[in-house]
Amino acid sequence: MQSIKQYRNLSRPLLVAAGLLSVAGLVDSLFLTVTHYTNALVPCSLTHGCETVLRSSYSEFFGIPIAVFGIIFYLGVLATSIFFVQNKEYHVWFSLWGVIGFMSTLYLLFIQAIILHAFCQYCLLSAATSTLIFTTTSVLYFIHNNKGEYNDQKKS
Amino acid sequence: MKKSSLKKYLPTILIVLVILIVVGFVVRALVSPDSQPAQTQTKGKVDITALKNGGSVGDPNSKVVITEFGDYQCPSCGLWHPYIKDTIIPQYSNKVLFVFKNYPLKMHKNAQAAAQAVESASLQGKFWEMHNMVYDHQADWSNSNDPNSVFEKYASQIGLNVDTWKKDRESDKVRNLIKNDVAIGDQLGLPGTPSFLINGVLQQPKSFEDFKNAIDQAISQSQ
Repeated sequence: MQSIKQYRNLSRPLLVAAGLLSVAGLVDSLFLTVTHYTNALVPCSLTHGCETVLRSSYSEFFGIPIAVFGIIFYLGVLATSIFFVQNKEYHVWFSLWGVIGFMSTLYLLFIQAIILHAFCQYCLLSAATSTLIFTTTSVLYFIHNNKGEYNDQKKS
Repeated sequence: MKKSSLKKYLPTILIVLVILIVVGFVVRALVSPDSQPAQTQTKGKVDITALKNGGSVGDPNSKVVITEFGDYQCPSCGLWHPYIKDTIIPQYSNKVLFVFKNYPLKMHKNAQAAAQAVESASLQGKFWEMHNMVYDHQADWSNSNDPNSVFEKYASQIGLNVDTWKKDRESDKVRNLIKNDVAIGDQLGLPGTPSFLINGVLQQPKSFEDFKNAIDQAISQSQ
């Protein structure tokens, strides 16, 4: 096998993937934000715990819906990935976005599973997109920041 | 911003703006009021007398029966409660019969305990006092690991014989009463809570005003 650097040509598709995932996350977060402010009277469903999650005290942080932070996060990922693709650039700090998103996802999953005992499918969709963004940004980090430590050529 | 850096950032800004506009349209389409009717028939049917039994207030002889299937831990029920208590019941109690039936959802861990707390208060003639206490303070016990200790304080505050209330709370009589309400709700095929029925017709109001209009319409049709 060759140096992991050879995979740098994957940077563009990975950045495009992160951008597309962030668009999906953006739709989800914006939907949840609008729902938070307008659909207060939606009944508690028999089949899912969305109302329990979205109306809980954990759905806000300092009075701001968590979904708004989701919009900021996905907008950040989207803008950065477009900028990098446009300018054929990459900076390792991009991967920090992925880490922040993934940490937030773990925290929110913990709240749903352990404290509220209810899951909202829209929150789970956001968990999926932010986890996939974390995966793509992590791969980008390794193929760019790795200085050849994983160069399997030595073994062959 | 220098001209060269503007040239570097402008395409990104424009693409993000275009994507934002598209996303805005998509979300607008997702949240726009759908074609869901304001009223609909329930999947199953039950006799109207079954919808009259429960904690009730108003005119028992009225031709208009409003039945709420509620879950004390459901946040949406909690949002409806002040409107029902402060607007609907005071304005319409001389014209309609308002009945509350229990429909505790399995996903709400303290909903069953809350229903038992209220139904056992009902045996001492204080259904609405306990009903209001439990709904008004929903946030105080919803995530509690010992909701009954919270309900016990309410029982004491509204002047119940607490020892009797505690025995009743765990009695088969109270449990069966709730089980019976749930069975009726299941038979109707309710979509969730709160489910409001006017003379057995399921209401799907998108606002408090919608609900009030539906009641006014039912009253005028009954006259």
